[in-house]
Amino acid sequence: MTTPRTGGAGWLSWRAVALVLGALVMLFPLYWMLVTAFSDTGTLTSGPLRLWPQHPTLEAFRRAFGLLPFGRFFVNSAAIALVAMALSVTLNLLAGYVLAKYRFRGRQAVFVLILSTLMIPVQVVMVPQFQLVAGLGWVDSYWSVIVPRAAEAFGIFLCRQFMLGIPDEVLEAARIDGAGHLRVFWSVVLPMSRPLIAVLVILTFMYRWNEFAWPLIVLNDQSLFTVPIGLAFLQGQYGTDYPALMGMALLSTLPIVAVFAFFQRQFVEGVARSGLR
Amino acid sequence: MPRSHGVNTWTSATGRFGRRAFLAASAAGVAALSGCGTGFALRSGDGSGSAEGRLSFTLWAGEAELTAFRALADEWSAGSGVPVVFNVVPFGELLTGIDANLASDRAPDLFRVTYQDIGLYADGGALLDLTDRLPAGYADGFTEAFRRAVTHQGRLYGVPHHTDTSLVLFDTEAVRAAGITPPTTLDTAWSWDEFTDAARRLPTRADQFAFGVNWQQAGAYRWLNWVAQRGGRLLDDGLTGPAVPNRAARDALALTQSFFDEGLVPPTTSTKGSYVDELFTTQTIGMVFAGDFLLPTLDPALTAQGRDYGATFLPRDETAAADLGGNAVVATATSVNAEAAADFLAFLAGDDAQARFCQEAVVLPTRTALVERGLDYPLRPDLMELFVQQATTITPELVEQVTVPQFNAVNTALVDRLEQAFLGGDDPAEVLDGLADDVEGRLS
Amino acid sequence: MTAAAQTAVTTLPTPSTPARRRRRGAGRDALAAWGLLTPNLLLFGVFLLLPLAATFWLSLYRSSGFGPREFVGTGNYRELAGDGTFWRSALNTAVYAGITVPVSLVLGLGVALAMNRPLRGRGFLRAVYYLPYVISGVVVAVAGRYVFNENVGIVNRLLRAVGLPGVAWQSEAVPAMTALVLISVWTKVGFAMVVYLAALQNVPKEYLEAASTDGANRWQQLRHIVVPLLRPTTVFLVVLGVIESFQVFDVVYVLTGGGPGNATEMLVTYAYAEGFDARRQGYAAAIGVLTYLVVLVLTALWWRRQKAQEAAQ
Repeated sequence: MTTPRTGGAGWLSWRAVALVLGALVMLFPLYWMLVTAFSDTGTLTSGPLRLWPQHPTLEAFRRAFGLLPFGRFFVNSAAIALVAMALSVTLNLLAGYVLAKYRFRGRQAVFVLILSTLMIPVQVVMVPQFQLVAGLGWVDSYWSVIVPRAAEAFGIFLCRQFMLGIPDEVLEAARIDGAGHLRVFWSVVLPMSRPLIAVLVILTFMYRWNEFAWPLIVLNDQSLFTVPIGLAFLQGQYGTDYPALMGMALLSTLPIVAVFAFFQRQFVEGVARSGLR
Repeated sequence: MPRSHGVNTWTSATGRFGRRAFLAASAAGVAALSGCGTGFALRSGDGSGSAEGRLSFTLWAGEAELTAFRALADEWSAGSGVPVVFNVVPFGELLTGIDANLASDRAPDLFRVTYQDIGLYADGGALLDLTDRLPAGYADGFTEAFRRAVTHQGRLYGVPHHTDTSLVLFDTEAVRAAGITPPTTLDTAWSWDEFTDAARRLPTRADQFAFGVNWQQAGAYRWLNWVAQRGGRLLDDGLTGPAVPNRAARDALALTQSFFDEGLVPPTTSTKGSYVDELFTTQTIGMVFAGDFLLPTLDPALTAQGRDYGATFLPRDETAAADLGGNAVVATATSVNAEAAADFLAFLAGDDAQARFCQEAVVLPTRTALVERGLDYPLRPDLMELFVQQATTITPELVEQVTVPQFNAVNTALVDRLEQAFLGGDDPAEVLDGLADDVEGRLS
Repeated sequence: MTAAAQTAVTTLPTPSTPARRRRRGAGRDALAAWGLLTPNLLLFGVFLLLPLAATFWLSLYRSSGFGPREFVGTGNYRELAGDGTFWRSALNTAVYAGITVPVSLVLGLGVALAMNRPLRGRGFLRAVYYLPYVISGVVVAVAGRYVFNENVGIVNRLLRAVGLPGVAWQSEAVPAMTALVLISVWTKVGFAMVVYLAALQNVPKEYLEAASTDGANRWQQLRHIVVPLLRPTTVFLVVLGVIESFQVFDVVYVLTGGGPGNATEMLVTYAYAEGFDARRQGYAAAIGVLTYLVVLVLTALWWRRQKAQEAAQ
C-alpha cells in the first residue's frame, strides 16, 4: 500500500490537530462536570472564573450517597440492565435470523411492522403501558422494567442486516446434515455472529442502564430505584446541589464507559459487518 | 489490522464470546430471575399501592421535612400498630405518578398535594371523604381559609397540613450598599413605587440583576398576589368564569412586565423558567421573593458564603396580599385502610404533631391554636415571625380562587400567558383577553 | 489481500438464493419461522401495539386520566388543527431535526474520514468522540442545562471573561434552539462517526488510489467517490436521526421547558405537557398519534427507496 501523501501519521499533521481540538471540545462539558463534582458549592458559581477546583473535595459524593442509597441504585441498575440485555439480545438474534434467512409469506410485512414500533414516542404510550403492567401485577418488580422493552426493533434490524450476509450454503449444509431449526441457529449462526453480539450487548446494556422515564413511573419502591431516578432526585425543588448532581452523573456513566472502552474494537467491527445499508 | 479471508472470518477469534460464555451469562440470568435479587420476585401487594396492614404514603419532601415526617409517623405507628411506608418522589414527578397509579387502581393510601391541586382530585372522585371520619370538632381547629381549601362541595377531603407564603429576602450587604432600608413592619411595607425605586438602586450588570420573583412553573399563581394587592380578581365571585380583564389585572401586568422590560429581573425567571431561589445563592440577584420552606436550603448556602440576609414584607398597594402556599395530605378513595388513614391524618395535622413538623421543617401552621400561640422556630425565628405576619394577609378571596377544582389547568394557562407577556413583550390587553379565554375554557 | 478476496468477504447483503432450492421445505420453514418469531411478536403486540391502539382510542375522548371521560370523536384532532402551539411545536421539531441531523452527520463523517487512516491514539480519540452518545439522556440534559445556564453557566462565564456579552440561552428563541441543537449534535456525532467509520472500511482503497493516480485531488475524491458510496449509510443515519429527533424529550424538558414562549416546544414535549400538566390526556394522545403517523410516512418512504436499491443490486 502506498504511503499517504498528505499529512502524516504523526501528531503534527493538520488532521491530528483538528481531531485533538475537536476532542477537547467534546470533552469540555464532561471536564466541567468533573470540576464541579470536586468543588464545594460556595465557590462554584460566584467569584472569579476558575477552570479547576480550588479546594478539591469529595464532600459532594459523600452528600449524594448520604442523601440517597446510591449504592443500592447501582446494584439495581446493574441487575436490570444485565438481565434485560440477555433477554433482548436473545430475542433480537432470533428475530433477525428468521427475518434474514427464512422465506415465508408476510415476511416483509412483519419486518415493516417491527420497524414501525421505533417511531412510537415513549411519553405518549406511557399511561396505557402502565395500566397494562399494573394489571399484570408487575408494578414494583424488575419485570415491569425488563419485559415491556425486551423486544426492540433497532436490535432486530441490526441482526437482520448482519445475518443477510451469512452465506446460505453453510446453513444449507447444516440442514442437510439433519440439524433442526434451533440447532442450526445455536451451532452455526451464533458462532458466526460474534461481532454482532458484541454490538448488541453494548447497545442494549447502554439503553437499559440509561433508561429513565419508564422506570420512574413503574418503580415506586425506593429500594428498587435505578441510578437515573436517583439523579432526578438530586434536582430538587429546594435548590439544586450541583456538585452532588454532577458527581453522581459522572459516576453513573462509568460502567457504560468501561463497557464500551473494553469492547470498542468489537463494536466497530460489528457495526461494520452489519453492513448497514 | 489484517483481515483474513473467506468464511473463516466469521469464526475468527476476535470475539470474546464463546458459546460457553453465553450459556454462563444465561445461567446467571436465570438464577437472578428465580428471585435471588429482591426485585425479581413478583410482589403484588408490596410497593406503594394500598394494601392491608400498612399505610403507604407518596410524597415529595426536602431533607428537613422528611425527617420530621418519619419521626411523626414512627410515633403514630407505635401507638396504632400500623406501619407507615414512605414513597419519596421528586416534586415534578409526583402527580404524574399519582395519575398513573389512579388510572390503574394502584393508588397509595395517602399522598401529599398542594392546595392548588387538591380540587382536581376531589372533583374527580379520587379522594376519601373525611367529613365523618375525623373526630368531632377537629376540623374547626383549622383556620377558616385552610378548612375551605380542603373542602369540596361541602365535604372534607384532606387535612391542611401546613402553609407557606413568600417574603422578599435580601442580601444585607447589597441592600446596604445601595442605600436601601427595607421596611420592618407590615403597615410600612413598600408600595409598588417604593419597591421599584428600591430595586432600581441595586446594581445591574451583564450577569447581575436586582431581584427575582417566585412565579415559575407551579408557582405561577403567585402572580395573582399583585392583582389582589390592587384589589382585583382572576375569577369572578361565583368562581365560574374569568373576572379579567379588569383594571387591577392590567395594572399588575403592566408593573410586572416592566420588571422584565427594565432588566430588573433575569429573563430566565419568567414563568417557564427555572426556580428563582438558585440565583439568590449565586448572587445573581440581590433580592428574591421566596417561601419559608426554602430557608433550610438557603440558610446553609448563604452562611457558607459568609453572607448575611434578611427579609421584608411583600409590596402592598390598595391592600396587602400574599400567596397561599403549603400542602395538604389526603387519603385516596380506593384505600383499603380508610380508618387507619383517617386516624393518621387526624394525628398528623393535629396541634401537637403539626407544631413539631412546622418547627422542624420551617413552615407555617394551619391550626388556629398554633397560629395564636406562635411557634418556636430553630432557624431564623426573626424571619419566621415576619412570615407569620405576612401569612395573615392571605385573603379568603384569593384562597377560594386558587383552590377551585380546575385550578391546576388554570395555572398552566397562567404560565403560558404570562410567559408571552414577560418574554414575548405581548400587549397586556391581548394577554389578558387570551387569559380570559383560557380560563373560561378550563372552568367549563 | 486481493480485491477479489475482499469482495468475497464484503458484507454486501447477498441476494436470496434462488427459490428453487428452498421450495421443498418452504411450508415447514414458514411454520418454523412464525414459531421462532412468536416471542418477539407477542411482546411487541402486547406491550407496544396494544398500548398504541389504546392511545388511538384515547385520542377520541376527552379525559383527565382518571374520573369520567367523554367521547368527542375527531374533536381533539379538529382542535389540533387550529392550535397554534401544536403547529409551532411541529415546526420546531422539523427545524430541530432539519439542523441536528445534517450537522451531526457531516461532522461525524468528517471525523470518521480524519480517523480512517492510521493515527496514534486513534482508539482513545474514537472513544472520546463516542462518549457523549453513551451518556444517559438525563445526564446530558442536566449537564447541558448546567453548562448553558444563562446566568451562571460556564459558557456565558467564559464569554464574559473575554469581554463578550453572555448569550440568552434560555430566554431568547434562537439561542435556546441553538443550545438544544448544540447539545444534541454533541451526543450524536459519535454515533455517526462510528457508523461511517465502519462503512468506510468497506470502501475499497482501490477506488481512492485509482482516483489519486488520475490526478484527482482529495476533495474531488471525497465528493465524487466516497460520498456516493456511502449513500446507503447516510440514508440509514438520516432516517434514524429523524426518528430520534421527532421523539426528542429529555433535553428540551430540562433545558428550556419548551420556552421561551413556545420557541422550543417540540411535539413530544407538547404532548407530555398537555397530558400530564394540563391533564388533557385525550388531546395528548391525539398529538402522539399524529407524531407517530408523520414519522411512519417518512420511514415508509425510506423503505421504498431501500427496496428499490436492493432490487437494483
